[in-house]
Amino acid sequence: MVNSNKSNQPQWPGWILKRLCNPHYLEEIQGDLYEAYEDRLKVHKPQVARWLYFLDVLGFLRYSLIKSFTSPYNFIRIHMLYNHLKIALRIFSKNKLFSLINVVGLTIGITAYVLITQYVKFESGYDKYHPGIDDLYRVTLTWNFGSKGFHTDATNHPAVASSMKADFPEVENYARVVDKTVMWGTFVLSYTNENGIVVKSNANDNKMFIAEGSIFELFDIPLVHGNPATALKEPLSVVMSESLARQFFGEEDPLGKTLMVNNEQPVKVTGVFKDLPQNTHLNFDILASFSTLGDWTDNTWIWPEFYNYVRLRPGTDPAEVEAKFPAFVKKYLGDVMKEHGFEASFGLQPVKDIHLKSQLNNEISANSSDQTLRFLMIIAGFVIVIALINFINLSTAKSVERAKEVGLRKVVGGRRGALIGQFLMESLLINLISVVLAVGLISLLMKPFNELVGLDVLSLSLWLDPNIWLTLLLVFLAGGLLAGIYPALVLSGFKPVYVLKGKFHKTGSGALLRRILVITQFIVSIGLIAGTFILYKQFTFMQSQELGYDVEHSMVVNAPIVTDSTITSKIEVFKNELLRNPNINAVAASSAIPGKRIIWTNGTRKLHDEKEMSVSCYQLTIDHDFLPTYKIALLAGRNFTKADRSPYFNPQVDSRQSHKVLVNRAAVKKLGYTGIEEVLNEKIIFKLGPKDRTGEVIGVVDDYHQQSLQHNIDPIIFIYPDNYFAMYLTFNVNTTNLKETIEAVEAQFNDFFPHDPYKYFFLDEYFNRQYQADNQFAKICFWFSGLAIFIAVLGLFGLGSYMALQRTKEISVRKVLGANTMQMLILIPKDLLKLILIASVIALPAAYLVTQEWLSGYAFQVDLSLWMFILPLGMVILVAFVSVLFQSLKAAMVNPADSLRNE
Amino acid sequence: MKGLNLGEFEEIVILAVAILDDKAYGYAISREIQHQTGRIVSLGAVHSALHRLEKKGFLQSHLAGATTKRGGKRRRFFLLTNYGKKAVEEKRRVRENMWLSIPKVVWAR
Repeated sequence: MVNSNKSNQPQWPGWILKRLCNPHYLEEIQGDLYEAYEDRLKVHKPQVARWLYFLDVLGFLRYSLIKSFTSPYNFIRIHMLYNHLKIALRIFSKNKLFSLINVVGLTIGITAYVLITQYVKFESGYDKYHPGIDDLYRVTLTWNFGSKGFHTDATNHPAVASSMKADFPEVENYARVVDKTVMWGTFVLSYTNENGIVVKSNANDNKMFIAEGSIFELFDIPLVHGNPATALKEPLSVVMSESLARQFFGEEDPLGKTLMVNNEQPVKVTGVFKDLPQNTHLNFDILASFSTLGDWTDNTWIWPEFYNYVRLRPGTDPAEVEAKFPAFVKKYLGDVMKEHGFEASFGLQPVKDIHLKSQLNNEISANSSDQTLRFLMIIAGFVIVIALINFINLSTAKSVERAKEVGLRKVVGGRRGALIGQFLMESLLINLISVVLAVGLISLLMKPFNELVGLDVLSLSLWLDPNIWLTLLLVFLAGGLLAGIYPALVLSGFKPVYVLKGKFHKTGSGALLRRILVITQFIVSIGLIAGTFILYKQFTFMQSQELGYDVEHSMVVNAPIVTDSTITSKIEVFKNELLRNPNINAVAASSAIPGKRIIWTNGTRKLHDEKEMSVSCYQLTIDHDFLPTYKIALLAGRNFTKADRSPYFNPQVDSRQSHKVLVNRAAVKKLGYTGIEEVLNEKIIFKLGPKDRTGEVIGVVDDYHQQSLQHNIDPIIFIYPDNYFAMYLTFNVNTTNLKETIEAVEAQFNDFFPHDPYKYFFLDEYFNRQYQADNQFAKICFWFSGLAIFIAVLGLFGLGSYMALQRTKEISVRKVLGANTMQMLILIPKDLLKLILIASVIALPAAYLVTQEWLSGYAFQVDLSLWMFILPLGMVILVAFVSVLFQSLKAAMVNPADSLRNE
Repeated sequence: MKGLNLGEFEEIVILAVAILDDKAYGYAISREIQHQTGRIVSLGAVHSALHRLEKKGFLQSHLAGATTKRGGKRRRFFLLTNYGKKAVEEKRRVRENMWLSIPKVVWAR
């Protein structure tokens, strides 16, 4: 009877009670609760009664009724804890070196881990802050040239998004964004304030887009001034960032102010947005209204330079929409594709993936790759694992020393559980100290780290984020328990009978595990050194290669933009004026400069080839001084002369009229000619905008690196139009008296083109900017691999010193039997050498495979040779030897009489 | 005398113990309070008060012999000590004195 009812009573609240309640009162309370429960069963449903029972139990959890921590029942446990703490601290201070190695290693490990994970978190957090980001897509455009391959653009035709909205019910909203260059080639923004002072800003420095007002609905861009619904409605209105507004207007109210574009077109400021955070792919300082472009955008299908963003209805499967694309493309692009001989297809790209997964043509900003991040995460993991391995190794290595302690504790009644607690306490304490130190170290390293990665990843507000504390807590517990549990189990398992009789020396399994762990450390170290080394080799290789033109002497000035009909002759006079300066050797005008991807690319073919045979070639506009200025070699034929100027851009000119062009060697090959001589005087057809143009090849230019060595050398057609085309003026200057030369150019420039800002740069710096991301990555890898290796060396040093200590007696006996000091000196390094060689068997092939894979992303690769792998191995051996050298020396020099006497 | 100070709830618990005479244990006391005052008190509060009062010396307690009821758990019965009796009496005396000191006119108003 009694028990039948009891089963109804919920068990777990009773269990809580039993755990927490003062055992003095437990019985009566249980009885009372039981009675109350039975009484309630008479009036309530069982569920209700059970619930009330639980509430009653909660009611008992009050100070006067729960177990007191100082009650005899907890007294022992608490005091054991104190005792463990005390012993742990004593052990630490007794083994200062080991404790220091552990703490330093773990502190660095945790710091590196947190820094890298924060960086990775920042990088993978791009664009995630926009509400509804999951339904936001960019419509990409893939060009298919049949057998000639295909490429995918991030940009698409302007009418895509608006037509999608009209045709697809799944599309909820859209916004089109396009670089300002479709409207204003390059441009200058200026503001004349009340005092008549002109504030100029070169929009080449400021990122500017022309965008639809719906951008404020699709993306999280809060306006501090102006109305998001109307700000980008009127033509010629602009919205700018807070910091840029301050630059122009100071503390004045920016709304309604008028700025001049290229000193001729007024635009009105209709809004100011808060400066965008760094972690968005769509980064800009100014937006101009889309209506500025006119009303042709909704039905234009031949201008693939627009970023089309669409928001699908929440929960829409993008595959459903993509399935409709082929019919959609056919409907709108069918005719164009037939006419121009290509196949196009569209795709939906999630905006949240753009930063890490997208490497298309015409990306808005340079994206990272998740491969890089994965690589960094691996390093982060390695760093912390190496530190934990140090702890395990050093703790188990000391087991012999602690064996007697364990034995004695057991003899006086220590249970195994208590001993495990003791050892775990040591491990947790080490980890706790390390975590605390790491917090300080991270705070100190915030600024240098931000500089290292070139982003504002860290700030002190990091510590306000509960997640970071959770991470640290996890690292602390996981580290403490993982590293602590094995030594704890091994050490607490000793049998006192053997230990205290002195029969215990070494546990075989402990030594084996230690070896495996050391080998793991070596694998990681060798792998990291080899990887970093090859990374470094590749980067220096790319940056030391001959580029094919004179990069040291090239100084570039942004060409004037505010122009009139006299500009061509004005440039001519300007050039001649400056050539009188003895330090200026040559001046050239061009539409692009090396180090910058050429924007114009279009289908090109031999005169008699079919349209379908077109290959894509870049088009670069240059003048007759371009090749001499850059000292680019001419392989065959002749350079342009002034007489070769041609009316390419005149729409009235017939497409059969031929124009003189130069081609580079890559273009010769791509077009299907067998030799450079064969191409001379040949005719080719290329597209310039919507028009076909016929070119007559008058010369072949040697290949040069237009872009970084990550890219192939692309085929280029050089043209020399008769209208004004310059974006850049390049000066070949003597490196002596550079300051005067710069000033001379500036004086002339301001004299000739007073409405344009003077901006110069040196080509080598400019070109090397392409390697910035690579260099940054290399630096990060270098530092963190270095840290990992440093921690491993620390551990090795500790372990080596311990091995030396352990083998002192062995060495003494060997010496008594006639071994000499030198033989003894290499005893310990010999052990290590075996481990290193085993590790290298695994590490080097792995490093080879990984680096090979990584290098395949580069068009020009450094050759992997054997020594690139032998060298890291040699380095590890050297470092390992040095780290144990001192200790083995001490052991080898020992006087056998001293060390054997105490037996 | 600090020790003689009784809280309101404590006073009610002591009175309930007195009412139940020799059958005063936790659950019965809580039911009695509920019955007398109409307010629902948690068992935990009652137990806590009982043990506090015992510690102060107002109550004494003993565990009854084994039983087959209540899931086999024994009851703890509480009895008033003389000190406890004095404490509640004192409380009552103070209160009555105060009542008597109230001028009649207050009620007439």
